[in-house]
Amino acid sequence: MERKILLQVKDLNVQIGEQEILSSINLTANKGRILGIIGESGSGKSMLCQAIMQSIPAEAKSTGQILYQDIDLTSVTKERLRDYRGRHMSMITQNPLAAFDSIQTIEMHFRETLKAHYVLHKKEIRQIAISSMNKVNLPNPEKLLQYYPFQLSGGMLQRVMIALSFAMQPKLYIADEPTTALDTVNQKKILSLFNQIRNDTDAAIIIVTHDLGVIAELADEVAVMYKGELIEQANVFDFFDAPQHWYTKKLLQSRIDF
Amino acid sequence: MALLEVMNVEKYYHQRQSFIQKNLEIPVLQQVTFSLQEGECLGVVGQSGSGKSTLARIILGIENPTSGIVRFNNVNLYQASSKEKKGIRRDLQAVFQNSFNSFNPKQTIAEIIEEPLLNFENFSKSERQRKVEELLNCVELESNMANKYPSQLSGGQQQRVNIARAIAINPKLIVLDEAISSLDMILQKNILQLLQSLQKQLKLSYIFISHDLNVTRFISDRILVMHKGRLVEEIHKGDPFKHPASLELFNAILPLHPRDRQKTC
Repeated sequence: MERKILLQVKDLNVQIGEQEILSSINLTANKGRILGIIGESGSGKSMLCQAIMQSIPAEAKSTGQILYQDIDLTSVTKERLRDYRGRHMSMITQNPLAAFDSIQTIEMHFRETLKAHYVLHKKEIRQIAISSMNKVNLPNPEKLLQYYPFQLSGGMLQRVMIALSFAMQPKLYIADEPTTALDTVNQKKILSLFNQIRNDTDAAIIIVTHDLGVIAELADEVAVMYKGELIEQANVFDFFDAPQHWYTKKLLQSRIDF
Repeated sequence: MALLEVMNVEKYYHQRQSFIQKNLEIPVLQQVTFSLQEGECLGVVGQSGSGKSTLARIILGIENPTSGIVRFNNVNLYQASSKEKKGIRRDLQAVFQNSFNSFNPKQTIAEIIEEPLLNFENFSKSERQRKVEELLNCVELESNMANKYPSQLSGGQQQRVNIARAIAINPKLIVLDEAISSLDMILQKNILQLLQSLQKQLKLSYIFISHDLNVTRFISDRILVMHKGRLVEEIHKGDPFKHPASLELFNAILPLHPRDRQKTC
C-alpha cells in the first residue's frame, strides 16, 4: 500500500532548563492512518503533542524540524502557524471540562472556532455544527447547542470536542489521552468515532495513550516512548507479535489476560 | 454469617427547582440488596453515574441512605453506639481513586501510615516505627520513603501508601473505589497483584468498585452490575453476562491484540 506522508518530526529535542524532556525524536504520520503513541506517565507523550502543535511552554527550548507537508512549522511566522492550527491540525485533549469555556454555550464555541478561520454567517455555522455533531452521534444537536459545558457529561463533552475538531475538517488530528477520563462504555464510543474518521476522510490521526487496549483497538502504527525517547516504532501487528525493546515486552506483559 | 449485609438500600438526592415548585427527588440507589462473605472479593461495575460511588459511601458510613439497612459484622451501621462505630471503623477501611487527595500534604508518609495506629493501638514510638517499616515493606515500598511527603511520590507509590494505611490496623474489609483507575497499565497490574497477595496473607475481603469490567473480573470472585442505581445482575466468576447493561460493559472491553478487533461501523 502506498504511504502518503503528512507529518514528519526530525531530530526533535526539547529541554526545560537543564532537563531533557524529549531527545532526538523521529516520527512520521501518514494520511489515512492512525499512529498510536504509548508510554507511561511522565514519558514525554504530551510534550511531543505540544511540540507538534508548536505550543510548548515558553520556558522550554526546542531544536529539530517539524515538517508538515514539507513546510517546517518551527520556522513559519505566528500568523501562518495560527492558520495551520485549527484548519490543518486539531488537538483533542484529555480533560473535556477544562477545554471549554464554562460561561459560553456549545454554540458559542462553534462560532468562535469557525470564525477564527472562515468568514461564515451564523446560520451556516449552526448548520455545520449540527451536521458535525450528528456525525459524532450526539443525540439532539439543536438542543445541545444551547447547553453550557457543565450541563453535559464527560463522554458527551468529549464528543462535542471531537465534533468541534471535525467541523474544521483538519488533515491531522492529535488526540492526547482522549478517553482516559471516561468510563469504558464511553471510551468504546469515542474510539469508534476515530475509526469512522479514518475510514471517511484522508486525515492522519495521532492518538496518545497509556492503554494498550486503545492501541490494539485502533492503531495502524505504534511508537513507544520511554523517558523522553522513542524506543520502538512498528506496525501494530509487529508491535504485538515481535516486540524488540525490553520495555515494550514489559508493557505487553502488563496486559490483564485470562 | 455474612460480613456485610446491605438490605433494600435506597438513596434519593433532592434538587431544588425554584421557590414555588416542589423539590425534585432524584433516585441514585434503588432497592440495592446484597451480602458479602468473609474473605471474598466482590466486584461492583457500572458506567459513570450508575451509583457505584454512592453505594461505597453508604457502606463506609460517610453518607446515610434514605432507607434500608447496612449491617457490618451483624451491627447496624446507622444505629450503632459510638463504641460500636469505632470497632466498625477499625474493621472497615477504604482506598479512593484520587490518591493525593486522600492525604494531608503536610504529613510525611510515616505520619500518614501511623495515624490509624495512634487512633487504635497503644504502641510505643519505636513499635510504631517498626510497624510503619513493616507496612511499607508489605506494599513493596522502600523504607526511606517514610520521611518523604506525598507530593514527592508518583501516583502508583501514593496508592501503595493508601493501601498501607488501610491495612495498618488489620481491617476485615477494604472498599476500593476506582482505586487503580488513574494509574497507567503497568502500575495497574502491579497494584492488582499486590491486592491479591495481601488478600491471601491478611485474609481480607474487598469491595472492588470500577467502571472497567476487565480489571474487575480479574480480581473478583463475584461481580455485581449496577445500572441507573439498581443492581441488575450478579455474576459468579466464569459465568456469562446476560443483562443488556452487563453486555454493554462486556463489549466495551478492548482487545488484547489487533487481530481481535471487532468490526465496527
